[in-house]
Amino acid sequence: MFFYRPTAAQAWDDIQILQTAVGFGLLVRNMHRWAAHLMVLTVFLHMARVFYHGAYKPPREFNWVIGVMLLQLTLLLSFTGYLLPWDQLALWAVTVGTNMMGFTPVFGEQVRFVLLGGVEIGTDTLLRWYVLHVLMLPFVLVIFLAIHFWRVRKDGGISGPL
Amino acid sequence: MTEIPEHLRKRAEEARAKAAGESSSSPESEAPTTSGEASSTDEKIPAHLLDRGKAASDQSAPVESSDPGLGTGPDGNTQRLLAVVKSGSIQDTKATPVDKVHVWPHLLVIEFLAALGITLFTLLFSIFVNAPLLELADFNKTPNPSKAPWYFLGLQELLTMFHPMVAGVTIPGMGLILLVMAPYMDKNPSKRPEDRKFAISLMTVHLMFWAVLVMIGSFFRGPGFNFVFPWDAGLFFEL
Repeated sequence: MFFYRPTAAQAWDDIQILQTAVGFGLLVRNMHRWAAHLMVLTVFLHMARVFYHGAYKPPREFNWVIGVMLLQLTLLLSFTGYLLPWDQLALWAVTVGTNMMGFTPVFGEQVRFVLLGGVEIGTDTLLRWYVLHVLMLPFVLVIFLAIHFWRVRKDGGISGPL
Repeated sequence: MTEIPEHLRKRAEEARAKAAGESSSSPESEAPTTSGEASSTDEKIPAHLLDRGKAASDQSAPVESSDPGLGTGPDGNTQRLLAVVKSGSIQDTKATPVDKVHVWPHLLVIEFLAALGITLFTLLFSIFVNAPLLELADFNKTPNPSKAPWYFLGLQELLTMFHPMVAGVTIPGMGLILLVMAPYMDKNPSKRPEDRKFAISLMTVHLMFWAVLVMIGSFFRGPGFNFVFPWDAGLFFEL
């Protein structure tokens, strides 16, 4: 957040400088990137484990619902972070993703417009997703995480298979 | 000191009678007998306690014994029954044992170690493998193929088979709704795997279906999103 400015003109250069001129910048960016992929993978695996243990059954139904929310939040966090380096990978991966969401029935165009902050991906999208990635989604995620852990304890701890 | 178990009282009385009748041996060897429970705990009595006991027995002033003369040996040494401690009060834990342990330290130590481990793994992995940073985004150069992040590649794979609205909105939307509804639709109370064959089969089929789609999208799709074999055409996959 100190070295990065979310504009189409500066984002990519800032990442480049972060990697070459900032102490441990490359290492920290690498860790951020790989840990993010690990997190998505781990959340999927966690969901599978909970399902196979039948741990979504009463009294834990509500916590399962929270968990599905957390899965979506994780995907959103990962996806918003994907755009920020503003390289070819980011631009076109997000283009593919948001084009799909544009096919939402009835108000697809509006959904896409809100997501992109315009009719096509650009600086406005970058700013929007940056704020989502560093501020709003973490904020919401922490709230849901807190509820998730609180429910784990309330509902009698983690559940085994039997 | 309300109820002294019958067998303990009997044993104490016998010992007392024995001490009164015969000329008893040294006070140390007698002590465990009066203390009741296990005479095999002789060695466990700390030396300083034994010394204290000896010192006390040297003073011929029994306090608590109901009959002072009863425990007095021929040499004037005495043994005193200070107290019979019921085994329950010193051996039983107050809480009845259950199959639960405290979160701290039993769970949190494991979790902390796991966090350390995964941090170490990420650190080492990040030292050796760099995160991708391709060239600057360019609207005029569409990479071929263009791929979404890996966790959306299953959806992108569906795009090759269905209308975008079905692949991009309807199917994932239905999937998420079904996931949220799972605990309310699956009314089977049992958590045993053998009782929930249907639920497990259904979930496994869908997870496998999804994993296969993601893998095809990731590794088996080349230029034009055409099906290729990675060992022929190379990998078209960036994380």
